Amino acid sequence: MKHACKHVARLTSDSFERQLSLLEQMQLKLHLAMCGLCRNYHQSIKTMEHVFVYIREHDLKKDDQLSNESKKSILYRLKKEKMKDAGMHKNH
Amino acid sequence: MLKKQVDPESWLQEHGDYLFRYALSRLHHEEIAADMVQETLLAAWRGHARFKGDSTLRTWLVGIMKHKIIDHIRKEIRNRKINHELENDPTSSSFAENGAWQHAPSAWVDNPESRCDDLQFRLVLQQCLEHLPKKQRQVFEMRELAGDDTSTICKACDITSTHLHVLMHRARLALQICLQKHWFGGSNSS
Repeated sequence: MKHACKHVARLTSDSFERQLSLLEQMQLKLHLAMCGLCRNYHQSIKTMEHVFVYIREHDLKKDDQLSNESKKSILYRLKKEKMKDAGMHKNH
Repeated sequence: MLKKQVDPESWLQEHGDYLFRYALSRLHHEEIAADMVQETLLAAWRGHARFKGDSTLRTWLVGIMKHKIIDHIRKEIRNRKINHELENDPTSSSFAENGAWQHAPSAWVDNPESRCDDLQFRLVLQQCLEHLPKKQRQVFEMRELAGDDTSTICKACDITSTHLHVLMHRARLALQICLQKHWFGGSNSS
């Protein structure tokens, strides 16, 4: 039975999300063997996954920084919190 | 007393920018990212007795921040209609009535793994991500950039795992089309 490419595209994505059932694995494999476009799609999604794994492991833009304004307001909140804490400890 | 060694102001000096970048890469909003840094440092200060020192301070802070970010996303989603993006199927324009391809995926001969440090490629990828519908982008980035697992994402976004799979599928298809158009197709005119 020939499975529509639309269904196979979904299986392709799902194969990165969950364990496919045996039937689904068969459908996917058989269809890919017959269909060049779906092979291309499958290959490109796999490549995309590798790209994101790489990005996940290497990333974070190096140039973004907290603005001075944010830093000041955070510092203020931290100091307040510390004082509150110190006050509480006196009561012990 | 141990207390003397703990100085949250120095956490801000040493790790503030790193935490900010981390939050920004997840939330794409400077003000919210700065709020996340504050929330994280306050929570860290309140809970510093629990820091065992078996991970680095930065790892510990990032762990706290991950929870703060998920809390934030959860709140944001509660304030928004959740499922309207699931109602119509944006992938249908890529397929004919009988489920065959309308858009023809091409083979990506160029190896983009070697392109990951190529700024041009990263820019195109970024723009393709920005064009995803909001919800798709959110779950896709939680999954692919933050590396969150299914149950974390489902809880944060209040969706079922099936919904998650649908959204991931749509996002992948949209990105495949976008990258093919703007990178793999465009850079190779032969």
